[in-house]
Amino acid sequence: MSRPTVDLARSLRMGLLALVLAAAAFVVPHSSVQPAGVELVRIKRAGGVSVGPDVIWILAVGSDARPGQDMLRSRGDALQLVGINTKTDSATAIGVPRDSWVAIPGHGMQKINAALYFGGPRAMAGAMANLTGITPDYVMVTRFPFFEDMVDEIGGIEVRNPRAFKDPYLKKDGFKSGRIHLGGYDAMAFSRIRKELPGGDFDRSANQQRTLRGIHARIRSQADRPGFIERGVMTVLKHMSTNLGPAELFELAQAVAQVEPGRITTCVIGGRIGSTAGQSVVFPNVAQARRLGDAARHDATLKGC
Amino acid sequence: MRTAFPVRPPRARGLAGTLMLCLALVLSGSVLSGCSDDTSESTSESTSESTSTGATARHVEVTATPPELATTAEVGRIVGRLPGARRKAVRKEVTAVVDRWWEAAYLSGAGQTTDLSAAFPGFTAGARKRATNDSDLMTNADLRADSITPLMRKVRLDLLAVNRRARSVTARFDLRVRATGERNRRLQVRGRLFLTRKAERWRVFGYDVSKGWL
Repeated sequence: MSRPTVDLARSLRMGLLALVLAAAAFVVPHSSVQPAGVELVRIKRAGGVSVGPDVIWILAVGSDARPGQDMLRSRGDALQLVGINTKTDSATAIGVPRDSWVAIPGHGMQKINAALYFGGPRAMAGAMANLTGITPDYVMVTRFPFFEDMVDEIGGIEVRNPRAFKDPYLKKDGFKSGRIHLGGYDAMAFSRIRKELPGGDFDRSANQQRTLRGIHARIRSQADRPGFIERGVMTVLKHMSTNLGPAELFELAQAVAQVEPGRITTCVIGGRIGSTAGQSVVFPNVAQARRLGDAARHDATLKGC
Repeated sequence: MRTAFPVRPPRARGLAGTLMLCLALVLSGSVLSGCSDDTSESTSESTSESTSTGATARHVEVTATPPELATTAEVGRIVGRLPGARRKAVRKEVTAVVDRWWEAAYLSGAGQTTDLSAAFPGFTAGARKRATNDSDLMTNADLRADSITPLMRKVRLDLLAVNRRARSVTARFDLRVRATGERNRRLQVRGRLFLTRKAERWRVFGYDVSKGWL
């Protein structure tokens, strides 16, 4: 080794040693002023956002639009009415089976998933208001490929799956019961499969709520990473149909991140399977839907299901 | 002319120089986070200007009894594109908002002298209401102190830019003060403020803040 290189290595070693010692001197408390071996320090912490009304209602719609189709004039396959209370940091999701037979403003009785096709987001919001008594403040429509990308972008999610199930087309090897990790595709499949589920459409809607909980938990855990929320907002702006501006989306995203997992309540509107107008449909339990709507309208909290 | 020290290759000289600079800064106690070279992040500003409500200074001089400690503010992550001049403008405007809150909530008084009705300038009405409920944390209303002296004021801004305009800001801050009186200790308030621009002004609509003794 040449003389300059040896000198360089030595000087680097000395520099590093000095750096470590200096850093240690800085971070290790001096014993003369720190007589106690252990000190319990109380750290106060609080957070919160205010984005207008205390409770915001968002109708989240997963469209079944195929590539090239207009997402706002397709059928809404996944329907979740999500309420966020920015005052109490609580949230709720009311799930509606897609085949629910409901009144769509201006279009009579139809399956609720056709509301998007007939009248776009406004008709879908109206149909949901007819059923639950809650008119959403926002309707957010997305399609499955974007949903998959979004879940992948946040690093996947964890869900608690109550029962194993599979699907010959979407998930041949199936989902195990218990706590499982889902990437983008699996999250989509987990939220769409219904034929293998004993409760069919109702269980699928409950699985969509498990997916929402998983997404929320992931967002909450990553929200303090620099740029995480900002990147998420940018992704939504690029791929999701919304008339919200970037600032409003940012406010909403921060409101979602502030929700405490223990304050999330969910329920799927029940009903009975039947047929009408030559179609197999779900006749929703309208009384339950109204009761849930009344219970959650002002505080986004369900006391029961 | 010959020198007594070995001549180092330019790259090594730079590395050793960075190390020595880090060492000097650590020893001086003026830097709490790690050193990095100026190529670490292309979307952030590699150098930061120090700004305060009424004055702008390139370097903060930390003296034994600083008459007025300026806030060190820098732009961190920028998601989207934002011209340099606008970055600078956002940094100054948002730093002014943070400074006004610090002055009103932590530095102008403590305990009963804290005026909660004026403690949250730059906050939206809803955020002000929530912050008032969290006044033990969001102000020094819970503190009995004879004097409050700022020791460190740092802000780092993450921006969301759409159509070359800043739309939202996450302000990560670290405020350290020395309180004398009932306790003679250092207090740290750190966390995040969330801001959007309303009616041509940056307004705080949310926060995630922790506070504790050092």
